Order: sequence, then structure tokens, then C-alpha cells
Amino acid sequence: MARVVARDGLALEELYDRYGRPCYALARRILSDEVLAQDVVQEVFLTVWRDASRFDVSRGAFATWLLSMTHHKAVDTVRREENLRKRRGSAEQLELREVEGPTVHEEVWSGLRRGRVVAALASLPDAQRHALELAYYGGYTQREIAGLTGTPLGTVKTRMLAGMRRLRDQLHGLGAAAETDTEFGATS
Amino acid sequence: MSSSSAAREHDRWEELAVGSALDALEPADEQAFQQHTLICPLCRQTVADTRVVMAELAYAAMPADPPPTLRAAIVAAVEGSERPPVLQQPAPEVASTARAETPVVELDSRRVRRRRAVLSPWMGAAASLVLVLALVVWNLVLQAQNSTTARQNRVVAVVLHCVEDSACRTVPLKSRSGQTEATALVRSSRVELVVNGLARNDVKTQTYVLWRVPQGGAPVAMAVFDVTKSGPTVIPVPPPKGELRPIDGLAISKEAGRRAPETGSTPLVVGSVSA
Repeated sequence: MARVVARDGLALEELYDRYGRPCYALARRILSDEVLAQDVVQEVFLTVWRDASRFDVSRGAFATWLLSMTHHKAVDTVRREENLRKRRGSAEQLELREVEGPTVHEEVWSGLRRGRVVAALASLPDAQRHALELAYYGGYTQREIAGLTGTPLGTVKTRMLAGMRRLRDQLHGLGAAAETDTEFGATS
Repeated sequence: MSSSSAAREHDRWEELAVGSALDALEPADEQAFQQHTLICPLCRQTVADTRVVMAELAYAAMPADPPPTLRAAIVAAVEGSERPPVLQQPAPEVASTARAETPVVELDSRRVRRRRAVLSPWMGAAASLVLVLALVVWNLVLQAQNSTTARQNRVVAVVLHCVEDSACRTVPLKSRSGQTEATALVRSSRVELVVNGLARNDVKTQTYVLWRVPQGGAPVAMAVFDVTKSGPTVIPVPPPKGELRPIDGLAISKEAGRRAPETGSTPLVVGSVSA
């Protein structure tokens, strides 16, 4: 990141090579639209280029910052493009299907990481998982989730907090471990 | 206010903290929460912790490769080039940009290589396989010459048997530095593992685990084993459930405890069955 701050374009390319794929996968998952997902990822990396100094390592890892930004911009976009909403968020959306492109080597690394996260999600009670998936992958607000699921708003909030606490406990250390794992494509 | 009611009150703020990190609050709630965070380090921490989990959730999304044109568009924008972004255009067969050294070219070249592999599937692969196997055997034979232990002779015998078996494939398992520290000998219904470079593990508190990794899927433990000696060693592997498909990967991790966990830690070495 220090190189990006110093306006080293190659450094940004290296960051893209490392993080572009998970950013794109996340944006595409939220938007269900490849072109809009590309727009979001491009905007994210150009924001990194323009405002690299905004990244504060004392407040968290670079991957966390980058993926949070990707999520935020994708959710903004999906709310603008209301008709794109596919009312997704159920566990079925996480079913595996083959995709073209990544090498098997990359697939092994990302597969291991993905396996952990999918397992952690699957371990949540259905109601907690559903609420979190609707918010994270669907871009719905807590109030919208309450309406969608016919659940009191307070219950939705409580479920999301409980689910997030359990995920935090189960995934504790995974991000930190990946920070030292360049092949994972997780951090700077 | 009692401590329990204070805790409940703070839980309500934490609910908003999670919602805020997820961009899932209504504007009024978001505004109230932002004001609260000015005086509440706990809620600021909850937001930060939630974002860490969110970053992990990104990896549960369906894996997807962005098109090479996206990288080109970002590079062009960064360079201040007058070239317009090329999003939505189909990927070129062979990149023709002046930046011949950029990964855009590498990506396209990779595709070309794949296509060529389809056009001549056997000749190059066979030649490479023979060369790799010859090197493996030669290396092991050389090591066997320097040692008369039955263990090393066993390794040579197992590898030679694979060389002679047209249905047997060798799968080098490499560390991130590119060092081959184990080799899997893979047949449709049987896998053998030759380790040669993995550090010895503490057999009381640790174990190595061989993982089978389907494309895009969760890994499945195939075997647990210990490395107690230096030098090449054959590790028996129980028969896999179902044939190992060409897209499968293999990985080895070192785990705490003496059993394979449901999900492994970061793998030490990985390899592709189709490589």
C-alpha cells in the first residue's frame, strides 16, 4: 500500500492481481450482473488509487478494508438498481457450480478458505443465517428483512447480532492467518 | 441502571453496530448509531470485528474470474491513458496492447496455452510426464544409492511401479515457494503419497492431513499421517470415495490434535491432479 500511496501503478496492479478475484466474485454475487460487478470493482480500485492514504493499517487489514468497500459500493448499486434484486440470500445461493478461469492451484487455496466460511455459515441456526445472508449478499436493510420474512424488526436485529457473534467466534484467526498468506490473495 | 439492564441496552447498540457494518440500517438508525459511536469504543470495535467477518464471507461467494478487460480498464485509467475503458468487450484471442508485459497478456496467453493443450492433448503431456517421472525416479534412485534402508527402496519401488503404469499420474505438491515437498501417485481408485521435504511433526500433538479439494468446493480429508523421519517416505492413503476427477486438487496441512478437523488450516503444499 505504501507503494500505491507513492503513486506506483505497478503496485496497484499487484493488488488487483491479488484481490481482484474475490472483489469481483463478491460484487457479482450481490449484483447478479457481471457488467455492474465490473463497474463496482473498477470503482473500488480507482478509489484505492486516488485515496490510498485513507487506508489506516491500525484500523484493520487491507483485505478487510477493500472487501468492505466492495460490499458497500455493490450494495449502493443494487439499491439504485432495484430491479436487479433477485431476492437472493438463501443458502441455495451458495451451492457450488463450476466456473471457468482459476487455476487448480488457486482453486485449492480458495477452496480451503471457502470451505471454512461455508461451514461456519452452515452451522448457524437457519433464521440467523438467513438474516445475515439477506443483508450481506442481498443488500437488504434490517427493516426490509423483517418485511420479507414476516419477522419483528427487533428479532431480525437480535438474530443478526447473534449470528455475527457466532461467525466471529468460528472464523476467529482465519483472516489473520490469511494476512500472511499471499497465495490466498487476502492481504497486502 | 443495573448492570444487566445496561448490558441489554448496549446489546441494542451492538445490534445497530452489526447493521451499520452491513449497510443494513435505515437512515435514522444509522444517524443515531454514528452519534453513539463517538462515545462508545465498544461499538466501534464491534463494527471493526463485523467487517473482518464480512471480509471472510466474501470468500463464500461463488468463485469468479473477472474478465481480462477489467484489469486493462483499471490499468488504463490509472495510467491516465486516453484509451477508453474496454469493459463489456469480449476478451481478445491474443492481447495486442503495447503493454506486452502486463498480466492482460499473461491471462490471454494462458487461454492460448489451454487451447493448444486441447489441440494436442497427448504429445506434450506425455513428453512432460516422462521427463518429470524420469527426474523423480533418477532423484530417488540417486538417494537410494546413498542409502540401503528398506524405506528408501520402498519409495523407489512405488515410484517405478507408477512409472510403468500408464494409468498412474504423479502430482507434485508444492509449497508457496515452489518447492516440491511431496508427490502423490494417483490412480483412479488408489492414491499413494511420497513425502520428501515435510518437517517432522510432533506425533503427540500434531498430525499432517492430506486433503482432496474439489473445484470450488470444500476440502475432504483423505488421510492423516505423521512424518517422523527425514528423507523420502511412502504414506499409505485409504481409497478415495469416487474417482479423482481431473479438476481435483490435493493439499497437505498440519493440524493440531491427532485427528483431521472438519476444515483444515492453511495448507502447506498443494497440487493439481490434472497437472
